[in-house]
Amino acid sequence: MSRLSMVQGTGLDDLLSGAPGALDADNEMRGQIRQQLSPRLYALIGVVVAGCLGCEQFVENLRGPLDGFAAVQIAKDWRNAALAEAERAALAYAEKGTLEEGSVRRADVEALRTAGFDDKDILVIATAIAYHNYSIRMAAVFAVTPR
Amino acid sequence: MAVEEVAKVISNWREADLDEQEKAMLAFTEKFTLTPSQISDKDIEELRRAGFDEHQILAIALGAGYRNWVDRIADLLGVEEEKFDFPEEILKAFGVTREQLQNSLYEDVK
Repeated sequence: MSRLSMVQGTGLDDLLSGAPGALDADNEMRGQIRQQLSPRLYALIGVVVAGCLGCEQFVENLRGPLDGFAAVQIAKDWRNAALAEAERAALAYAEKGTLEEGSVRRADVEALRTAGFDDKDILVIATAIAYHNYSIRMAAVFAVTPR
Repeated sequence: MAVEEVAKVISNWREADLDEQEKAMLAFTEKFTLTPSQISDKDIEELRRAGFDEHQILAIALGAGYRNWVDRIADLLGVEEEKFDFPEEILKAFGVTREQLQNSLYEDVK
């Protein structure tokens, strides 16, 4: 149950319905990211951001096509999970972009290019990291489930 | 808001000349940003006690969420949201020099 009594429901979409335009903006941004990112990478970023923020309770909501057990392990310690090198590069960027975003430098972006991502991919990955940081915070703060 | 006041809010909002409602909002914003998993009913109650209704509380969170989102993209991609010649007081509050600010954010601070 949400911490706001005006919210009818238990999801982030129910919460956002309480502010004019917020749900439409969220749908638009989320839709754009999901069109351009594989479901697996979108889920991996969400799970790792949740782990970084101490919000492991949301892993089940965020895991998408990932195996449930594996997703929990990835949230706890993605470095020791069986992942492709490109996924590792994206998750290192997601972790740094969540915990110490002010320290991100050109070398961090170069690591993504070396892993095979082009500029458009990097823009979408950065947007996905920021989106998950926003939506997981909103869900945690108001005790609703992220989308 | 005068430049000196903005600098004080940036460097230590708790000691800045703000009213109690503004301080309640900033305490929530800080926790939203740094330790969202630790927010409890008590934090929401503090906002209510400060005079905010539920729609305003949601709006405060959306504002904090938006800043978290936009600033993070800027940090991740090494872009500045806008070119602005920050006054000396603001630079001091952020702990950066004007020379560092002129460099791309991708250029590691020397």
